[in-house]
Amino acid sequence: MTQLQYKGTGSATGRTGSRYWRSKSAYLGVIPFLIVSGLFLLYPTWNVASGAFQDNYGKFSTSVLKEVFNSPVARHAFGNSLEISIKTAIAGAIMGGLFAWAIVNGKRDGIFYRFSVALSSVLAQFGGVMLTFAFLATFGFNGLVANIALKVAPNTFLADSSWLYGMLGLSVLYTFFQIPLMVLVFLPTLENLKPQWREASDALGGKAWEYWLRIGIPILTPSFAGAALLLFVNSFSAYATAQTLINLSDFLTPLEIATALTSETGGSNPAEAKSLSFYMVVVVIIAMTFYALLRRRVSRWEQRR
Amino acid sequence: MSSSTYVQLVDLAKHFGKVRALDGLSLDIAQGELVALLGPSGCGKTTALRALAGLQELDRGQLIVDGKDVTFQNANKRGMGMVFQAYSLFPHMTARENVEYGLKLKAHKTAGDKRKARSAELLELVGLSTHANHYPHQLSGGQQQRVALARALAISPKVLLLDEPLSALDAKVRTQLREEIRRIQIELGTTTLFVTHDQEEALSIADRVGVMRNGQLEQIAAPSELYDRPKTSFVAEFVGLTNPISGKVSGGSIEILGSVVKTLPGSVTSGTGIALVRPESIDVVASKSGNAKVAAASFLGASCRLNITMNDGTRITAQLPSLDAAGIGAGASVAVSLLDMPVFVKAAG
Amino acid sequence: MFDFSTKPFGFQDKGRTFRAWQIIPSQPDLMISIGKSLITAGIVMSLILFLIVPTAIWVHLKLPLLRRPFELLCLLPLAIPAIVIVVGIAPLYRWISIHLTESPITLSGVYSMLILPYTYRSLSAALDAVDIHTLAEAARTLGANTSRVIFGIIMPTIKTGIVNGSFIAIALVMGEFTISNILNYKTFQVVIAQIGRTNGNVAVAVSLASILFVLVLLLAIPTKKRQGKVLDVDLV
Repeated sequence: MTQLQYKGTGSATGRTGSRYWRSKSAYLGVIPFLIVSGLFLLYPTWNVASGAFQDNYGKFSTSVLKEVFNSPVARHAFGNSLEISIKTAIAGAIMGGLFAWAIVNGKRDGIFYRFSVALSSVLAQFGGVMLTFAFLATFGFNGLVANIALKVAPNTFLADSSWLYGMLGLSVLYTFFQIPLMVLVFLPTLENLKPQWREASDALGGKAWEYWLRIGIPILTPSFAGAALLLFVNSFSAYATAQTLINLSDFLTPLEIATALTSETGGSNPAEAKSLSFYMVVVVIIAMTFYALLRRRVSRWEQRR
Repeated sequence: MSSSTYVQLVDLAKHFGKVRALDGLSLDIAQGELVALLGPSGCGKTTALRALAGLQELDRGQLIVDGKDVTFQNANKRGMGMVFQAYSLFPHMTARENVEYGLKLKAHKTAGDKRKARSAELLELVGLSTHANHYPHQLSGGQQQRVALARALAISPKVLLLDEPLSALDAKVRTQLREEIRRIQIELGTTTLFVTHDQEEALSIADRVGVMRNGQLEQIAAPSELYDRPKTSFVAEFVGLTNPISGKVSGGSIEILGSVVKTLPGSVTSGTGIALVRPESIDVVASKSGNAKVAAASFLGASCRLNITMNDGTRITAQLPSLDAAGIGAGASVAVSLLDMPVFVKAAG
Repeated sequence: MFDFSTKPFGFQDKGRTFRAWQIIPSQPDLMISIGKSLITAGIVMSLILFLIVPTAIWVHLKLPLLRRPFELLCLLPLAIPAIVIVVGIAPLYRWISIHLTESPITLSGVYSMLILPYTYRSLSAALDAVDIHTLAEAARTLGANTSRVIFGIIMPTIKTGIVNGSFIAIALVMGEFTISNILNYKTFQVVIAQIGRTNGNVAVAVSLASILFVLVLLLAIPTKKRQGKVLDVDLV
């Protein structure tokens, strides 16, 4: 029997003595994790947070923050980021929600269900660069659809691929990205819509629309809104897709940050990068706070077991 | 068939794939009666109930309520109140709002104050007035089921349907709640169909109990009749405890434990049969020269259960009032005999 | 996803061959990067199995006070987008690449942090479903020591949670682009992007191939009844 076995099993009798320290020794167990997370997570977070309030020489100042705040370029990028995030969050939420509904109504163990869930998981995590190429292959210059359109309908936008490389194209691409995430996030909620509720409503004399109006929609709405918020954050933080598709360095905030950090022309501007990051994080934290509040509401209802 | 038959299930049949959930089930329920459907899982009792509610389609058969054929009527037009086993309360509404739900629907539209009065009345009836504004997740299982009951009763249903409402609850709550359900049912005079797999539950509150197996009704009768005069071996063994004792059958009687007793209709008529003897039909008396020894004794409060080994090796369980069993403990030598009650005898082997 | 099936035609158009697919194995950059990314994924997996999961179990079992902070820590990466993390971690990796090694495998460190939220979700659902306290106590009274309890008893019990969490981790490692691109490491995705600039067909071919490969893998894993979702998210 080694010392190890007594970790954390003693009860503290008094604040001194080996018993007390032995019980506290359980806390030692988290040290390895703290080291790793400290290095790779906490340090960078602190770096950004504190760096935003410094200038490029390390002195405390809010000058860079203010400069970024007032810069028209930064604002434009930020606006674009917000715009695309909101649009694609809503579009993705609606389409993803419908798709999730279709999945839930199928067989639970069937091929369609498993395939859809698997595909969604893959796309949600895996996709930025590759999805972009998929789109390029289809809609870009010399892409499949573009080529067909050239022959069939040369005056429509499908034939001229430039739309892909602007706000519209990016939005479509992002939405495509959002749908699998929505499916993954929303599916559990739909699955938790207990059939007994519909049956109870029916037995009590309720029609289908009455069920949806009074039961279905009120129950689903918080989860739906929460999912949409997640989509918003996802879109806002995205970098890979934009980078692969668009070459403008200041179209979206993440792109701006990357440029500020690694600029090959002239010196890089880490303080600017950190300030931009800071603003991004503020937005994300606001969104996540709402998300947490919504989630708490839902989990209250789910406290049955 | 009573003259005030209110609900009729006529020759119901339903299969799921290869399984015949209902196989020619016919049943009548009189007005104001509480009929329990009892049986092991998979016997079709829940299917029958859901069919009556309109939540399950049938392959064949008719459902008649208050003279009208409702077989093809939508669930939301049948005017039945249903209480599910669990999870049926709307989680985003308070108890009161849940109870009022039915009265907000177009089918039973009721004006504001009348609605409030009705929900208050029902919550009082089930003893939850103080919890009216609580959400389901704040209520215990038993309380949730009471709200479900109040909700079903709010619409003054023609028939009350209960689908194993107590199965998900603790033992003590179960006993309490089943008596309350019965009390309320009698007070309101609602025709009720109650499905359960717990035979004690069914026997204790029903006017009549129908024992089901494999989609068919084995026997339907008042609880005491079901217990004393089972018509099939399944019923005899499913309801209450039995001692299987083999003996020779002839001329409507069987010889076991040194006595000759009559056999019930439906029993085997000749050869060797296995009598299903109730524990309380066995008489046990302390005796130095008896024909058995007590292997173990369990004190159950009002009665005593004795595990007895006969001299010829047969093992039986007898049950006596504790006063009569005083002094008889493990190892005691006893004389065992049979009370003169007819028994059901099933085929040997 | 239905336009994926049209991708092959996109490059078959140019002479209608599978040439693009054929060149794949002969692209040295690509192969190396796949190898490196796979190794990185392996390291991240070990970090999960030997650091994250045991710590999670330890916290759940012994340190109830730390549960909330631990959970918040694990969810922190959700609030800090990758792009922001890379800004903060750039100096660290500069140091690493100068003083230690230039290999992209060092990215395992930061990757293991990125996957924390998803892995933690899977784990926490599994840990909540099983009564690990009772299991641990039963094992202890039978004589098992701490590491036995953690690795031999509890981890197998929450196997599904671990598997789900790991799968997402691997997907993330193989699919990660932001951090590696900005820090200039040649990971799988970065190389695909590079190829994409010069030889679109090959890039598309590779993308399709990898997605299909992962899909097949995922379908091969039997999904369990309730806790078997690949992304065990908290909106429920």
